[in-house]
Order: sequence, then C-alpha cells, then structure tokens
Amino acid sequence: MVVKNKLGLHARPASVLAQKASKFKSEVRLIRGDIEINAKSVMGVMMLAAEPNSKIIIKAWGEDEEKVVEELVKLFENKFGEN
Amino acid sequence: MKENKLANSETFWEGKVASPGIAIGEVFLFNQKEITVPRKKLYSSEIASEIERFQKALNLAKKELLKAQNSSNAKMKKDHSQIFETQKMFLEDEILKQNVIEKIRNEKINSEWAYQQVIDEAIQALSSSPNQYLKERVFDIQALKNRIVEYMQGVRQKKLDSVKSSAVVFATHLSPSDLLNLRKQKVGGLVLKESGVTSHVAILAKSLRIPTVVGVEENFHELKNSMPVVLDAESGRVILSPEEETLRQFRVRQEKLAQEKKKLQLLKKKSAITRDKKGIDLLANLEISEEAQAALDYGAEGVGLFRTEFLFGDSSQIPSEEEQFQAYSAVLKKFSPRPVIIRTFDLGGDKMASNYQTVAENNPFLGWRAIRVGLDVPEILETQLKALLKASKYGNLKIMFPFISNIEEIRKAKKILKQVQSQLKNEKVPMAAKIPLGIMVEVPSAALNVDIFAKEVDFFSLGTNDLIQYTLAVDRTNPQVASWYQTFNPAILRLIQISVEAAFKNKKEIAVCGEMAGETLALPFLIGLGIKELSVTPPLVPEIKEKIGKLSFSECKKIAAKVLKMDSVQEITEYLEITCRNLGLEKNF
Repeated sequence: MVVKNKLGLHARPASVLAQKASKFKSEVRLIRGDIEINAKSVMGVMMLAAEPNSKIIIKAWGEDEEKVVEELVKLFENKFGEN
Repeated sequence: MKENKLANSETFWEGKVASPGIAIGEVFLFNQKEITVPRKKLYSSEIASEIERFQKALNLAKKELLKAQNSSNAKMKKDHSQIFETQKMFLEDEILKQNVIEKIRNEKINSEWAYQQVIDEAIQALSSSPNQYLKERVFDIQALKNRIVEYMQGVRQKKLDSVKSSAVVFATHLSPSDLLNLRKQKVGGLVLKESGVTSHVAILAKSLRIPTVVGVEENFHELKNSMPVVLDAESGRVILSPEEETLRQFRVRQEKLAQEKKKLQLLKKKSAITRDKKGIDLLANLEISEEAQAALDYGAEGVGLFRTEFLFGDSSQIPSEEEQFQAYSAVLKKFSPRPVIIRTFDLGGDKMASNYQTVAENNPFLGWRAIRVGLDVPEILETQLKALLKASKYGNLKIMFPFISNIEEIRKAKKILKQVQSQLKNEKVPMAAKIPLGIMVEVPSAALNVDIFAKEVDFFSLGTNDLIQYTLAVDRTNPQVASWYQTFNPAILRLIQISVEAAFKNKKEIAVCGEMAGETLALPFLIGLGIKELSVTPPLVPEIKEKIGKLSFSECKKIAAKVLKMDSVQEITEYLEITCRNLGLEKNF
C-alpha cells in the first residue's frame, strides 16, 4: 500500500488504523523497510514514520485475515478519511 | 560562573517564534529538572504491584486529560480536541501497555524504565524520519512520556498553580493541558526547549495568543526563578537580565502592541466607509491558509487574493489535490459567507514546477508564467480546479486566473474549468451552484481590453505591481532601476482609469489587490475612480479602514480628475502628498 494522505501516517491516521485493526481477531502486522509492527498499536503505527508516498506491506493471519486486510486497504485508499 | 553571567549581564537566547507577541516578566522554571528515569531491579514479589502502579499512572493521566479537555471544550474549537484525542489514543494503546507490562515482568524492571524503553523506540524511529512534520511529532510523544513518568513517580508538579501572572514560563516540554492551566494563571509567555513550530503545544499557544518561542536549545539549569526576562516573540529572542534601556524599549513596544490590539478591537466590527457614506469593501491578501484567522481578527471582510503558489513551500512538487483542498476549504470555511477569491497558480521565474520547465529563460517575467503554464500543462490546472470546486461548498468561492493577456487564454481556461466541473458533476461531488470567475489585470494588454474580457468574466482585479513593471518596462526586483518603478506615472493612472471605466460600463466588479491598494497616497485616487473593493496585506486592514473614514467620495472624485490631467510623477506625487496631509492622512512607508 502507498501512503497517500498529505502528512503521512501521523497520529490521527495512525489511530484510525489501529482502531480498525483492533476490531479483528487476526494478528495484523505492518511492514515498512526493516520495521515490522503490530497494527493494533497507535504507537507502533507511528513508529513506521511513514511519510507521504511511502510503501507499506500489510500482513495478517487468523480467522478473519482476509476481511481485515480488505478493510485496511480501504483505509489507505481513502486516505484515512482525511477530507 | 555561568549563573553569575546570566544573572548579572544581559544575555540573549535564540529560538523560533511559535506565537507572536512580547512578554516582560520574571522567569518561572517549570520541569527544570530533566526527568530522570531511575532503573530499578525488582524482586519477583514486587512485580504485581509494579504493574498495578503503572496502570494507575495511566489512568490518572487519562483522567487529567479528560478534565482539561472538558474545561477547554466550551471555548476552543475542534483542532484542540483533536490534540487531546490523540493523547488519549496513546494512553489507551493496549499493545503499548502490554509491551510495557511484559517488559516489567520479563526483565523484572521498574515501570518507568520499561515505559521509557518502549516509547524511546518510537521516538527514535520518528526522529530519524526525513519528514519534518513526522519528526516534530516526537515532541508530542515525549511530552506524553514525561507526563506518565511523572505520574508514576508521583512528582506531578503542583508548581504550575504557583505561576505568577505575566511570568515567562521556561520548560523543556509542556502538555496541552499544562498550557490550558497556564492560561488560567494569565502567564505572559512561554519558552520551550523541545518543541517545533508545528507541535501541538505551539498550535495551541498560537490560538490562545500566548507569546511563545520554541526550540531554545540552551541550558535551562542556568536560570533562576524570578530572574527578570523579556520574551521577544516577534523576532524569536529571549533576553535574560535585560538592561534598563532594553526593558524600556520593550515596554514601549509592548504598550504599542496593546494599543494596536485595542484599536483593532474597535475597528474590527466597523466597515470602511467614507465621510459621505460610500462603503468600501476591505479584503485581505493571503499567502498561506493559516493567515485566515489573523485576517479576520484584523477585520478583513473577505479575501481579495489568496496566492496559492505558496502551497509549494520549498518544494518543486505540485501540491496534491488533497493538500490543496485542505488549504482552500480551510480558508473558505473561516470566511464563510464572506467572499474568498482564490487565484490559480502564478508559477514562473524562480517558482517553478521544475519537472515541467524545459527551456532556460532569459526573461522569466516575460516568459512561461502563470496561466501560460496552466494551459500548457493542463493537469496542473485541472488538479487545482478540482480541489477548488470540491472546496467550493464550504463558502463563497470566486476563482481568478492570473497573467491574462488575451481573450483566448480566458476561453481555454474556462473550457478546462467546464470539463472539470462536468466530470465532478458526474461523480456527484457537491459543489457551489455559482462560482464567479475573474481575471487579474496586470498586463497592459489586459488593462486595455477589459471591455472585451467583460464578456467572458464576472470580475476583475488590478495587480498593480506587475502592471507597473510591464507598463514601464522595469524589473521590480532589480535595484538599479528602482527609480524607474513609478506607481504614479501618468500611464499607470490612465491604464487604471481605462480598466475601471470599462468594467463599470459592463457592470462588472473591479478591485485593486496590488500594493497600491495599501498605499496612502493612492487612496483618494482609487476611491475617486469609484473602486469599491481594496485588498491589502492583513495587518494594513485597520489602518486603511481608518484612512478611508477620513475621505469623502465627492472630494476624491475631484482629486482623481485633477491627477489624471497632470504631466509627471513629481507633480502628481507632490499634489497627492499635500492633499493627503490636508485630509489628515499620514503617509505610510
């Protein structure tokens, strides 16, 4: 996924993302470069220091893994509702 | 030794202005000790209670945060509550909490230490980001960390309550709720070591109008409470142990600012109106969207020119549609229902989307500039128009095209606008029903063709700076020819007259948004021509309002007629100087 919102994954999008991920049972990880974090943690997501246009990999495993990836992709697509 | 030096002789510290103003008072040191986080090994039997202690600290912090948030809700707007929301998110981060608890358990380590270790990882990751905005988030996280650690250590300073009013508070970091507390004590100003201009606390200080300087990387340990200090948050300086003369100067400056503020307050609600009751709309020129509030505070009745090229910042990248949308809608919302004229990019010369420029220019001002770029690279204009149209529902938007020199350009630009409009309509994007279109009159050929262009546009705006430069063939950035740059050259006055009359004859509005609109000597002439709309830099708004109040339209008409018959710059300037003096108008700059 590519971070499309203008300020990158700062606190607000990070918390939107973490909140969404927390709603699912699956284990969800985000990877950027050599950093891998738990997507359910705001602090973790911020640790990615993902500036605009940076690339992020979503990884999930568990009973609702497909659904969670789908939902997170949607978030990235609509720039975390920053409108 | 150093302490003596600070206490005995005037010392200057430098930082960045986060919120402008002047404060004179005594030093109040807050958090003067860097928070030292102890590292303690725990016995297995202590672990459970340690974890409990950690959770208690988190809850306490959350509670206080909610309290501060509630007390701020009434007066403060959304952006502040978002700051609190973010802090709350961090406090409620379960993973973070679990990580800390695990660390306490596995390493048998005290909670402060464990917490610091976990958070520092995030801080490290962020501070190595090349992105300035993300980098400055470190300050927000650090503030939060220190706060929790303080709760854990039970040393949450009560000291803030003892701040004297008008004191200048020095702190390594402050939390937004600390700041709200300080406001209640009516502090004079803030000096922060670890903050950026875009940090939460800086944003908050600005909207609370607490003079604040940040990024002062000095040793705060050298300070003593109650030391006299001047905070010059106009130039970003802290003056410790100021000399009598310095104090006196800043008192005068502070008094002047206070008076200006009072005067502004008085003028804010008044409109600009001549003695014989002709109303003039006084609007503001904006360069960045963040100026909107200040412009409103100065009493601007709208935005006469929002120069969008500043969205580029230092970058040569075209700002994204989203970024543009944010800026435009912010200004529109702030001013709604008052009009906001947004001008499409005036790129050219040094400010260029470098990936598009292919030819090195000898005369950039006569080159590939503004609308010419927009028409040649339609995606730039299309993206901008899309952002503008999407933002249009938030207020009273008018769109203006720069640097028009012939009617074809207007037609082409309108065609692109129509395309974008119908595309958005198909996508069912809500837009304002009617968006007036205008052009800048800044090229002599445009000034001479206003009657022709009137068939295509709804309004005109005279950009006098460029009009002078192009009419008189003077590069206004070249100091060697500065004396040829003549605002009151008869040719300029005539071109303005021709434009204004042509606009009126065709029942179109015409405004002046160039520097001439803010020039005292030009006021009687412009108003005498019948111009009803002037747009100036925000701080000039109250001053011009006041001056307009001293003029009478019927007198101005006579003055304008007289000036138009004169031969030379010298004759015109002398006449206007005498006239303005007699009318009680002081000449600015």
